[in-house]
This record gives sequence, C-alpha cells and structure tokens, in this order.
Amino acid sequence: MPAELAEQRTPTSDLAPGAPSQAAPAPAVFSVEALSVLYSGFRAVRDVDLDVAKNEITAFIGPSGCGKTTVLRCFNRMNDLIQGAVVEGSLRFHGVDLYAKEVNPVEVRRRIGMVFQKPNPFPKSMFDNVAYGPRLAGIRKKSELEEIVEQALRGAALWDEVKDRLDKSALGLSGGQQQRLCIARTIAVRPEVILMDEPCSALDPVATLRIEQLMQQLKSDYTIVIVTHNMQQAARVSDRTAFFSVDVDSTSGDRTGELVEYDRTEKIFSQPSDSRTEDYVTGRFG
Amino acid sequence: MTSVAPPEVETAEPTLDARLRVPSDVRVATIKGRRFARNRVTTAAMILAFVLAAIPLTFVIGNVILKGAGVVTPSFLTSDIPTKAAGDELSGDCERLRLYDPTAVCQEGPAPETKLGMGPAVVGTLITTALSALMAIPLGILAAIYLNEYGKRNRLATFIRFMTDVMTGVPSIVMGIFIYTLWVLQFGQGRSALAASLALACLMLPIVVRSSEEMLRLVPDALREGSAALGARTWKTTLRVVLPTALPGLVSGSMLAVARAAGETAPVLFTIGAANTVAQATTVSGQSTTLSFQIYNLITNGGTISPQMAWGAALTLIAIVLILTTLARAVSARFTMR
Repeated sequence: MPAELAEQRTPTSDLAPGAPSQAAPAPAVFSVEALSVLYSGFRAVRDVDLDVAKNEITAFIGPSGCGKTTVLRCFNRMNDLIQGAVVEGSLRFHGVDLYAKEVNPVEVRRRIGMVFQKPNPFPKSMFDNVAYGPRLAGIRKKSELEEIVEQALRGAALWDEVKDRLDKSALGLSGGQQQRLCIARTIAVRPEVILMDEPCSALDPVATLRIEQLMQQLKSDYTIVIVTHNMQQAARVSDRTAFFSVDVDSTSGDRTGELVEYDRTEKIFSQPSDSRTEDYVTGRFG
Repeated sequence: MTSVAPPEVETAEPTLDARLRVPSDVRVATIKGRRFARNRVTTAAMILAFVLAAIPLTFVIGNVILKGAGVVTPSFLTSDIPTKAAGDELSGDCERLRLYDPTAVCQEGPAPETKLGMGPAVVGTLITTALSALMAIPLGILAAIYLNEYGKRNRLATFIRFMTDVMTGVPSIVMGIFIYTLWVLQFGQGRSALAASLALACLMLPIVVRSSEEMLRLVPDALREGSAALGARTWKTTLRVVLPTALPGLVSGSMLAVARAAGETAPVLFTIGAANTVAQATTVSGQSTTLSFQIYNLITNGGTISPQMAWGAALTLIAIVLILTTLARAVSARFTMR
C-alpha cells in the first residue's frame, strides 16, 4: 500500500483543493490550539494543535507516555476527574471552548462518549448496562428503553449474540463482547463523537477485527477519535493520524509528550515529513 | 605470635554459573531436604495457630449451647422476667430468706415453680438494635460516601477520617456516659430505649464509616469513569453504580456493627433503665432492657435460677445476631449481580 499511495501523494497533491494537510479540514468538530496538560504541576503533554474532522476516524499513535490518552481525555473533560490535572490552551468543540466557565462537563460527556481501554461494563444486566445512559437522560418507559437497547446493540454488532439473555449479567460476556457492550452503551445516548482509548488492547485479533469493522460502520454517524498502540490498526481504520512523541528534557529528565505530526493517514505512513514519525512507523524507533 | 598472614588457601568454591546449573534430568533432586522440613514445620505451625484460635470460639459457643439450650423455649422468649426469682428460690429456707428480708412471709415447703422468661429483653434488644442501626447505618454510609466519592484527600475528609479513628478507639462505656450526661441528665430526657439506642449508635457509627469507606474504595475507578463518560453526575454514579457494586461489603460492615451493638452492655448500663414485662419493654421513649444487660444483672444476682436464665439469654443473643447476619447476607445477595 505505501508505495502506490506515495506515488499519488506527491508534494503537489497536497496543494490540490480538498487535499488535507495541517490546514483545518472543514467542517472541524474539534479544534485544538496550544493544548497542554499538567498533572500536579508536571507538564505531561504540551502544545498540541490539531483539528478533528466530522465523520472521520482520527487516530493518535505514539510510544507509551507520549500523552495520547491524556489529550484524548481532554476531549470529554475526563481529566477533570483526576485531582491536580490542569488543562491549558484552547479546545473548541464546534467553536465553543470546552473549558469555558459556563460549560458543564456533564453536558460535554453526554455529547462526547468514551470507550475505555479495559472493557468496564457495570455489574448489572446487559439491558441495564445499555439502558444506563438513556435512563440518566430521563427515559423511563420500558418500551422506549427496549427499542433503544436493541438499536444500540445492533449498532454495536452484539444483538444477535445476546438478544436471548439481556437480563443476564454483563460480566458473563467475553472480553470482546464486553467491549462491544460498552460501545453499545456509549451509542445508546446518541453522542456526536466517540472517543476510544485503546479499545482493542485487551482483545484478541478476532475481537479486534470485529471492533474495527464496527468502527467503519459507525463512522457514517459518528466522529471517532481513537488512541492506539497498534500502528497497523491506525493504518487500517483511520482517515487521519496524529503521531505523538516524548521529549526528554536533557537537564531535568522530565518527559513531556508532544504532537510531532498530524496528517492524512496515508501520508503519515508513506511520506511522513518528520524523521521521528518515519522512524516510528517503519519500526526503527528508539 | 608471628605477624605473618595465613597462607592463601585456594578456595574450591565453584563458580556461580556452576552452582546454578542443574542436571537436565528432572528426577535429580536439587531441592534440599531442609526445605521440605521447613515447609512441613511452617504448615504445621499454621494449622496449630488455627486450631488454637478456634478453641476459645468452639468452647464459648459449645458451652453456651450446652447450658442455654435447655432454658430457651418459646415461653422463655416471650414471658416476662420473673421479679422474685431470688426470693422464690429461697422460699423453702426461712432462715436464709430472713437474712435478706426480715419481714418476708416464710412459706415452708418446696419452692414454687418459677416461670423463666426473657421476653422484655428480647423485645428491648430488637428495638434498641434496630433504632441504633437506623441512626448509625445511613449516617455512616453517607459519611463514607462523602469521604470516598467527594472529599477524597481534602482537609475536611482527612479530619473526619482521623476523628472516626479516634471514635473507634473510645471505650464503649464512655459512649454510655456521654449519652447519660448529655441526653438523660442535661436534656432531662430520662432513661429510655431511645437513650440506649443513641449510645449504641455512637458506638456503631465509626465502625460503619470506616468499613463502608473501605468497601467503596474497592469499587474500581473504571466503573466511575464509565458512568461519568455517559453523562452521569457524581451523585448519580454513586447511587446507580458505586453503591450497588459495593452493596455486599456495605452489608457485611453494617452487620458487624449491628452485632457489636446488640452485644454491648456498657453503653446500655446507665441509659436504658429497667423493664420487667414485655408490655413495658415495647417502647421507644420508655425504659426498657436488653439481653446483654440482663446477662450482666443475672450473673451478679447469684442463686441457681439466675445463671440458668443468663445462659438462656446468652444463647438467645447469639441466635439473634446470627439470624440478622444471615438475613442481611441473603438480602444483599439477591440485589447483587456478579
């Protein structure tokens, strides 16, 4: 793949209309400018600038400790739950600063869902897991809830496997099924964006493939941002890729994550403009 | 003495590598006999420790059952406490009876049958325990929720945690004195089942707070995050996810506190007053009595009937605690999904 794509993506094609580059792709769902995150005064990641486009899959890749997850968790203000976390810079969601005083993080999280690294179903029945969000939103009628649950489970490609045992504990499912249940739980509240934090790292290749197929289906309705350690996964599923790296301060030894390069996935994997990106995606990292 | 150093002896110590290398034949034993021996000795020591720990427990329970089983009958559990047990016992022995009460009317002949009963104490124990549980458990769990879900490591939470630890260490009789001076004397409320419940609640509160906090801490943060990511406020997350997940642990901790309260004598001593009939004891604001208090009373009475009743009361108390604990476990199991 890289060879032919590289052929097509000569430098001139970057200037062609509609060809994405660092320039803001329209319409941007998120626009991030000079974003830094500090944990108890320690700068975990600094100066991130990127735009996330609607109905695309954006992947964050990079070595451990480079701040991909930290940045992802800014998008739905999950970092608020960590004591001592401070976010600097601006993060706009449809032009509105997510960290403005009048923005309620609870409202943010209802619009921007999240799937976690380890499947975290609640110790409740599968039905109650998926119905959790809708119930929070005030939907009480059994028939309505049943409809939402079925839709969400179908959307997460889990319905056929569990439709006869919805009243059973979600903890009895396999890891891959649990993760799809968590995706169903997330889409049951109809978010606009789904953030996925290494959603397949605890799953086997078959379950991973299912989730990846699912992401492709979800793309038409949702904007997806995914953090992954798996470069092949980023290459397979994403439209755009952001490569993060760690900058080690030579005097203090502090490790700070930074965004190295952000571009169309094909470009990142075939013609990265930064040598660090190239080293990483070709496996020459380190 | 010559100052010549001893000649360097060529050490035959094999190299580390040689010492670590073992024959590839797994039948060749490299684990020394000493290690097997040590394993056997420590295993035996552990079993011995367990047996030693179990001896007092089996002895106490066996003794209580042995001495109490004959006394505990349905009528014992429901009848009033015989007021003149000691007097009745001596009624055949005029000389000794007059030592106690010179005006007593002496009846010659065998002692009249005394109807043993602990009814008021059973009722009183249930009422005071229930009342104190009603006060301490909700308050304690709410405090634990504050500590673990809201306060976390802030100053107020740290202070409350410290004070709870201090409260756990306060002797139970101090709780009794506290309620006696404050509620009974200062507020002029008098002795009552309620006063005793207050003292017991003071005793239970720190136990409930600390055990509940431990249980809430065991709930994985991943569940809290999952709930928050769906747009749940902290209190919703607590109510819908954290509490149901921690329920069995919360029940265990609370039952531990209930069992402790049901068996306490000291806080009840000055606060509950006295009651001899079931009708008297069926009260919240009036004076009452409890099994533990009666055991204390009866044992100090002496005679032959009183100790018998004390054993019966002890067995009843153990049974009540056992039944309550089993019930609570069963209820929480029903509401828990694993």
